[in-house]
Amino acid sequence: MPNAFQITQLVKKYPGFMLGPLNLSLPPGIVLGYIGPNGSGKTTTMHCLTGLVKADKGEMKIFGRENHPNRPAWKFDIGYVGDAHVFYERWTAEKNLKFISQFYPNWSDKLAKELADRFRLPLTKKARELSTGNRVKLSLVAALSHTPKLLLLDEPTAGLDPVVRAEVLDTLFQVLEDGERAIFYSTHILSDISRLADELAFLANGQLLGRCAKDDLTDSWGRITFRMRDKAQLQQVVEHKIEGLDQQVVSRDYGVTLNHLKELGAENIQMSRMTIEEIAVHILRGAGQ
Amino acid sequence: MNKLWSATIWRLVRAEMSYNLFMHAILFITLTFSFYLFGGLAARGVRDPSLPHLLAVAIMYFLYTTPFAEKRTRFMQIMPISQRDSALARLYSQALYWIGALVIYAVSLLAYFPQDMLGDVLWRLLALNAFLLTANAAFCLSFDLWAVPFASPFFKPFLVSLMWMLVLTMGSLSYEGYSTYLLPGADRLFLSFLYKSPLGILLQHLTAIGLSILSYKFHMRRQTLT
Repeated sequence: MPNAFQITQLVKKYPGFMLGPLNLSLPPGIVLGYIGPNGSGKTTTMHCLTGLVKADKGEMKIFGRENHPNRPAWKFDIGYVGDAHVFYERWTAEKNLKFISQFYPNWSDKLAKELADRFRLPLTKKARELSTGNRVKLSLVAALSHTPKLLLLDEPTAGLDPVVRAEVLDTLFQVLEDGERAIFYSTHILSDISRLADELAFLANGQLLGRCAKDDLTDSWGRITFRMRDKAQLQQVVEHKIEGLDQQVVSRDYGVTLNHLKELGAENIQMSRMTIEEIAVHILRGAGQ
Repeated sequence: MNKLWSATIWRLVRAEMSYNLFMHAILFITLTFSFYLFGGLAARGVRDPSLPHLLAVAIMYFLYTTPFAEKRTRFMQIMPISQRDSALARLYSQALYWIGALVIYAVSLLAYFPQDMLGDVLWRLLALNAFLLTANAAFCLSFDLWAVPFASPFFKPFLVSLMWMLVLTMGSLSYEGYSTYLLPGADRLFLSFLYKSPLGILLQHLTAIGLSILSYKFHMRRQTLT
């Protein structure tokens, strides 16, 4: 089975910014978190992939099909929710869904109703009367009701207050945990996706810094405190703090660093695990330096 | 496939028609009211009562076609609709406003010039038809020009302004009272050719069609639809 998407040598230039050359793929059934600070190129990647923006160079395929603007069959397989939620404002949520349903052969009214119930979305309200949170929910219902094999979520909860964001994400993740679909979720808030992601890709200044399985990151990164007279050049260390004899390092491979410290005769060695958020901050901060 | 019409285009255009039906009804009532209001002017010697209608048409374009032209185009790009179908649906949907405007204007003209159907009513209607078609294409073209990557940010406003100055001049010259006031006799002859001869009207329609094709071509080459 072809990849859910395959991005090859993508380049998109704007004045003062260039994304790529970017190579990224997503196998079916995998949830990939696309993490990067604001302005790093996450949305540009999404826009190029969905055809909202034309790439300057490169090739993009969705389940083996080129994302051609005039052969839109590849869009049957994707659901997309971005930061903007555009609807026919004077129509009810239900009528908007009815309109969208005409374009998807796999659309299920039953599923749309179920999802609306789960999200507690008021279907009879006009789009312009919906709160920001409910507009996001309507976009999500619209993106999910044709059971897409690939879901592209570009900071879908941007602009929501923390309470509504938590509620939307909670329901969304419950819904997504049920299905077998590939998900590409871009965000600068890692906690949004850390629960769901299988893998994480980090982007900064338009360049992909790296990609790895979430569990590999938490298994290998660690914070180590120890006591040593001198400051040593330690292997795999990304941050080193010294307070008198007490020292603290952050290592991207704590096994290697621990062995090195033991060889150097460090005392009082203690290791603590790091959260995925802490690791992401170090990775992205490293790119900025 | 080079189809000018498809089930997808029909769905999009039908949605636009249905979405704006209520607003069209309100507009029709408002125009009818303004027809009586400005009728007083006609009675006092202002021969052409079309100004409020032209104003209303301009307002209508800005109020109802802007969201369709831009925001809903983005909405459509996410759905399995080709760029080609969305470009054509946009042109066709805006043309619906043009039909509505023509109907309203025709009623107004027939009421004011019942004695001279061929002389006044037909030519004015055809002139307005050409003007609206041109404005429709210019409207689409403005957005598309704005989105082209190769023109500089300084050049784009200049180009769009220039195009609208030409379009609005064309529209205002068809407003008879205004052109008579502004132009000397020789130019009025030219206007007479442009607005009251089959060849002039044909030329105007060809301009409108040319601009429409240009708008469609630009839309298909846009770097971004957002």
